[in-house]
Amino acid sequence: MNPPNDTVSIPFSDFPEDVQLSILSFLTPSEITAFSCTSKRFNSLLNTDSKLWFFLCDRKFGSKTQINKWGSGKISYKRLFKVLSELENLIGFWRRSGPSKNDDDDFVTPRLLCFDWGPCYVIGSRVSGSKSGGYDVVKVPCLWVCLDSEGERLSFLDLNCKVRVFDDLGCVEDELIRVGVNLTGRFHFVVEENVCFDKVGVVEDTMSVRDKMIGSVGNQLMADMYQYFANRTSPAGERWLRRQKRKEKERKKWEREHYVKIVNCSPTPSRPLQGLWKGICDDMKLGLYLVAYDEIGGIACRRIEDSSKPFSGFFPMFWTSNATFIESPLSPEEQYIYDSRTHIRPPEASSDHIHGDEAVSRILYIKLSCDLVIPDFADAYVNTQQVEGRIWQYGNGTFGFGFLRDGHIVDLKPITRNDNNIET
Amino acid sequence: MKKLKFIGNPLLQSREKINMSSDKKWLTLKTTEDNEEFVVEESVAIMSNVIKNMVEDGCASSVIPVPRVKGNAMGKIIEFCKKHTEESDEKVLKEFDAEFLNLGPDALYDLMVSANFLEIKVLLDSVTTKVADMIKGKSSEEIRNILKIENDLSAEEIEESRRENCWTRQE
Repeated sequence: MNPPNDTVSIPFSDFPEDVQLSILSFLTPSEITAFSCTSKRFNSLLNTDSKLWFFLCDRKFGSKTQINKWGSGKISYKRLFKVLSELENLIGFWRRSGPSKNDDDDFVTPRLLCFDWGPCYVIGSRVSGSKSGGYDVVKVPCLWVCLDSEGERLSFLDLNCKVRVFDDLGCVEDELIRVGVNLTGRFHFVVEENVCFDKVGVVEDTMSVRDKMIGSVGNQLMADMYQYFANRTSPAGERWLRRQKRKEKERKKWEREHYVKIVNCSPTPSRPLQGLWKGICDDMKLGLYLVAYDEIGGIACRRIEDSSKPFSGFFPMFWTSNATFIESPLSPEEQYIYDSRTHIRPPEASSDHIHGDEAVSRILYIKLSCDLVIPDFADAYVNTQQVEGRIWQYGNGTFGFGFLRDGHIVDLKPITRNDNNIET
Repeated sequence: MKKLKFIGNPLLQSREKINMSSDKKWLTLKTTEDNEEFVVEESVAIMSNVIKNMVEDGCASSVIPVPRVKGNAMGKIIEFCKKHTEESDEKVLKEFDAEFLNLGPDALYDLMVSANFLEIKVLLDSVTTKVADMIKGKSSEEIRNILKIENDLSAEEIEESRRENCWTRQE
């Protein structure tokens, strides 16, 4: 028995169409399914590519991407909604998990990837600290995910990070690797090479392949592929095929890589140190740090960097088993420990009052991570001076960390998805 | 005798009369269905895209006729727009909207249709969210009752539709 306020005054079918669609655009797909089973008319609304799917795409994704441009505007909004809902899980920060078989002297698989929405694609960028000495974070595009005109996903790895603009993808077709980005669940995906060009027998019809490629990846790439598929037995086609095979022999096959989502990227009131941070380290480069809380009240911090050196890449920095702060005012000993340090910050930042409130609001005891055996630290476990450190949290929520064995503070700022997009 | 309605705090009415001639621009909206007139600031009125276009195109005279919208609905609409122009705090606005939309189904419907006609996106979204909330998470049968939809589907058709759209339930 519904209370009077909970029904509408006139039948829903008599509402103006735009009002109907506006109401429905707030529903989740499963709620829409329930709605579609109410009558024949609304059933067809759901099952055909009606205005409803456009309203749904617009409501959910209109502010993030240009929904009319995906797949060159040729795919149904119903299909687009499904695909964009899948791709939405990619957005955010991911870190590479496990050892990489692809790293060599010229190339390191990105340790930290950030996926963002583009106008008609999703772009995965390698995230690293700027070498300019400032707080700038550099995001360089290297993994492009878009749709062909039939709504199937196309993903390309740009190993040398040559492409900055989507439309240029076609110009470097020789250097792109066609990959599959396969999400398993919401927090894990695998990138692996798709060797589809070798499967000649699978292609049924040359025109449909060409149509798939039109507009999606640039004319040069499309033209080459069309030339191949249209002239499979022609000299031109065979030359193209030999050229591709030779290229593939010169370049070894890309081995699959696993990425794990960084779910907690930002601090929260109960976890104020959580997330991704950046700060200048001892080596005067901008380092990226991930601070994570565990289930038993502890914190661990690791530095993330693209390095092919062993043991680096996801390097433990510090940890503590007790994340309870000691509030100011600090004891004179602690105040002295803080005052006698030099802050490691970019030169131009020092005058910027980045840490507006220089006064430390509270401190935390931490320990240097000694997971690696370092000769100098042979006595580390005995000599607490070597491993003890502090986190000093400032009034504005940022913090710095340092260890008793040296006289520095590394001042950190949070990394956000809207961070500087300057490219080297 | 036409009644001129000043929308605002009655205690301030005299001050408002004085301010009439100051730099704020005022418009008169007249609902043609029941001949009620409303004097509003232009900055409030242009929350309606329709009125905004008229003003920008220069074809708005001092009195703007508004068809299809009843006087009661107009009054509520202006109250909503005024609040949303004055207040920028999200939390305050949310509370205001919840209270404001505590209306019977008829008034709610009038508001929705008028907001759609006048192209006031913020108001339309608020009201349609409220209607959407009525059917969120409900079964098809319950939705039919709430929205007064007649069932003309057979059991097989319903089952087939569910099967086709099972991907929507993987969330």
